[in-house]
Amino acid sequence: MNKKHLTKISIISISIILLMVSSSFQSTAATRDWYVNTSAKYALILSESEKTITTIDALEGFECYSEEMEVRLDIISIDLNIHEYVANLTIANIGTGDYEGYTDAEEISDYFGDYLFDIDYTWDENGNRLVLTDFDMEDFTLFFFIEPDWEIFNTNMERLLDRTTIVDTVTDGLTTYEITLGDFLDSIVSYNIMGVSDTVESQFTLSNSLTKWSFSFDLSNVIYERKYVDETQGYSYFPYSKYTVSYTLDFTDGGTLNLLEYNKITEMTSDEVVEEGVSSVIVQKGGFDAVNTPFNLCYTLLSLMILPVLIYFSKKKKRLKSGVINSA
Amino acid sequence: MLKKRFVQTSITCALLTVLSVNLILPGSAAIVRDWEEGDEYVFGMVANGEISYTSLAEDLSSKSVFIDESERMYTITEIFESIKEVKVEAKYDSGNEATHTFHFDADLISTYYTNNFFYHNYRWDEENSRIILVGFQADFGNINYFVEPDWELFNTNLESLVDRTEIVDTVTHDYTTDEITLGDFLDAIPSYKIMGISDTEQTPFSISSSSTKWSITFDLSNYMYKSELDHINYTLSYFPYSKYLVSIILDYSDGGTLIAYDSTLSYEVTTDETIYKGEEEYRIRKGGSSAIRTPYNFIYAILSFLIVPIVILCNKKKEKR
Repeated sequence: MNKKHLTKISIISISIILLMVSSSFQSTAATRDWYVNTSAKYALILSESEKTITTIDALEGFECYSEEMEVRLDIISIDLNIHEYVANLTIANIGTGDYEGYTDAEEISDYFGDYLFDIDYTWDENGNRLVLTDFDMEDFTLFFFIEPDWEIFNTNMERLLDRTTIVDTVTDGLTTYEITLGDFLDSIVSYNIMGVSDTVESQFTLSNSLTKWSFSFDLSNVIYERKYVDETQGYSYFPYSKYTVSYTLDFTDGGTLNLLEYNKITEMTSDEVVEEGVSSVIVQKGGFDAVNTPFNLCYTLLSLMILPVLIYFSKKKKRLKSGVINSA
Repeated sequence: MLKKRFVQTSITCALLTVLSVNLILPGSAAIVRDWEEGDEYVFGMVANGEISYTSLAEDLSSKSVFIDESERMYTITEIFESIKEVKVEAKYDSGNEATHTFHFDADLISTYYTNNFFYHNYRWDEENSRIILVGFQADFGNINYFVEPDWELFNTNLESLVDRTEIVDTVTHDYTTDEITLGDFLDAIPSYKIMGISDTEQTPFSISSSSTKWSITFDLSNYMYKSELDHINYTLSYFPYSKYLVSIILDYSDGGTLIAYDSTLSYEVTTDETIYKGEEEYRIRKGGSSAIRTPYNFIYAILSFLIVPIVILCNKKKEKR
């Protein structure tokens, strides 16, 4: 047991050391790398897509919306007493306007610590059970420049890994259930938080010099879609055969946002329809040239999604090319 | 000369004979509907758009892309002959179901198409003392899937689309009101094609009474202007579109079932600060999404309707020489 424990600690230590390669070794002495007249260009790419296909008639639908823009921030004033800066924000088709940003490491990390995870459970009346019905990390409040007090920042971020935190409470009318982060983590397929995929046996701590945080969760067949069914006038629960969420937040040592990347991929089959969804957010310093993800996201997603659906349904049903299935 | 004329007439006759294989010529027995109770049809629909912005002053660009593909299955459950309506049970790719009742009256539908087709917005350009086009739209609006195949009536109504005397907009300036007719518009734009024919100036345009397929394209490049408001001085500036192409295709079967509808727009304009490029399309296809992804060769589809008027037009032009 001691040997196993030692091995685990060693792995964690190595992981942390590796992470520190790109981070500052000076835990508290990092200096700002953003000043008045600092100019930074970012790519902002947001896309949502959903592919649907009905289970009986194989009717297909595909919706995708993608917004890709480059913005430039030119800092014109900084007031560290109130932890704020003012920048000119320029967008290609819109023009230039004032942008006020907040820089306090403590307040910002406190905000992340409280709101980064969104976890919802519901009481399933028919199944007499607690069901996970929502999980996301969809907080995209943008902090482009942060005062680089990484020690306090990481202390607050550690709260995200506190297994005793109550993430939701559900009542079935008689009993109130408190679900902790530990309950949630133990129930899902897999997760990886800062390179660590098991927090059961060891209390997780973050290095106080980290400037990059990454999370990924696989909730396939654990999370359910809750749908109202007219016939039964009640809710039915359909498991997602695929539900993965990943989130990365990366700053320079001096506190300038390098990257925010979020991806959610889902697949769910209800009585009537198979739904596949992809959501993606990328905020990348350096503009479009710095982004590795292929552009024309909608078309990329469409081609990725069509193939498996075609394979699935080509076996299921064949339709006449004319579109007339059944002439009287 | 006579021999040449004879050869040309012979070719025309031969073409007409060939065409009559899959067409019912005017004056022949009434065309029978090819849609009836119990029929099931799948229609695919797609609305796509891509707009890009490139800043001239800054090293910045943006792009918006949207794709909306959908399928619906219509099962005809009842036809109300007296009120000319058809009831369908609809199923959608979302899994939802609904019941709809559509008009199928050829007169009503073609009148609606005609009345809603054009939108022109001309404006007085104060700075240059001129009338300019700042808004244009051409589409048939809500498309009907099933139509009573009374094509003679249908085409008679559609002919008013190309009435050159029709006033498309009025502009008031300096105590004067100018009326802009469709003829003014058609004569001013770089090019257009209505059913494949690009010149209606000298001959009143007529559509074959048996047409079931219609195509209209407009090139408004360097004629259409983008207006931009200066938010500081509250003055308007106008920038010509270097490209502004509009294309509409509507295609029914002889029996009155919608086969295809295409509405596309492609444009590019450079203002003081930005290059705008846009591609938009809206398509409907009988046969569903797979039919949408299959390239649709309308030229081939309407070839039969183009040959006769083109031959006649050529003859007329030669006669004038």
